[in-house]
Amino acid sequence: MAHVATTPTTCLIFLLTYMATLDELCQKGALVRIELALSPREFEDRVFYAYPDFRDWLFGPVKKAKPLDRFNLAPRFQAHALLHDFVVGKPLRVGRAFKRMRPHEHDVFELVTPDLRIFGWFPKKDAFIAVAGDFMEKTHGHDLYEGYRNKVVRERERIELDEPKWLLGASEDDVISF
Amino acid sequence: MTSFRFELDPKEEAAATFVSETGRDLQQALIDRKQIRKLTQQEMAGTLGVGRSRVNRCFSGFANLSLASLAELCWAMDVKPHIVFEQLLDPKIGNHVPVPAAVVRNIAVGQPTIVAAPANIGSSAYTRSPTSFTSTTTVTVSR
Repeated sequence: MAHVATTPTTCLIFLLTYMATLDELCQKGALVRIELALSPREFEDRVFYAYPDFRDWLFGPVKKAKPLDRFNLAPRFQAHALLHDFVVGKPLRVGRAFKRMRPHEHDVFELVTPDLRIFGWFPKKDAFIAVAGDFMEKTHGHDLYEGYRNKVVRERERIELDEPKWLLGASEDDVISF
Repeated sequence: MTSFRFELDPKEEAAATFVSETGRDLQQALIDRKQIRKLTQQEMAGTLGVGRSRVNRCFSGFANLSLASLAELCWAMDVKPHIVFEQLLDPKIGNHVPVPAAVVRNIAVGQPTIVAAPANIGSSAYTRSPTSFTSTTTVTVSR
């Protein structure tokens, strides 16, 4: 019978190196996968993951919010359209629908609609993790961009995700397929 | 796996999808138009007799424009909009059927448009528009 010598150091190394995949994090409840009903001709080409707090915001305040400009669709429809276009692999206009936040070295991305701002990162191509979301009026008005960017960086460091945790140095063209 | 389904009321979703897809196509039509000859929103506003901010709002991608407003914007861009109604029901069985042929929606300005529908649904298989500056949006109507 083989014996495996285990020492406290070995155990600690094992604990430190065990991470999780995105799906495992969803199973644990650390992340949720946001799904949409697709038509028979549509396919899920990209995956949208979210922190539970983001999900609560999306299905809470966003659901009830009115658009800042009355000519626009309500924020819940804006969110649905954006997520739908993301999931089915439609082109997203760089600088309009999504952008890499400055400074670029943090690799934090922002998804945009007229009334909403969604902050997160790409752990791999065509997969986005939304950490936080807020209304454009509040984000602009209180200059919250830096805070949200820092929050994404902090959460990304904490999350027990397999390395590499994100696409390092990737531009908008690198993180999603067009 | 923990997942959440982001669902809307079907009627609301149908309307919102059409508005947002039209808004995106309108944005693209302006981009395509600018590649032919420079055109600013200020110039469009002057042509339409409205303020620039109003034109800018129309291009948000989510503006719920009336058909008349959409037509006016297109006129100011030298673009002609087309709307195609696509049958979702099979006339033989009366139920929704998957549509196998791809429907070409986002057409570059200046290119002939072809909207392909499967031969077993609807009365005409293909619709070809004249070669002109054309932006095509497909409207899906469920019965």
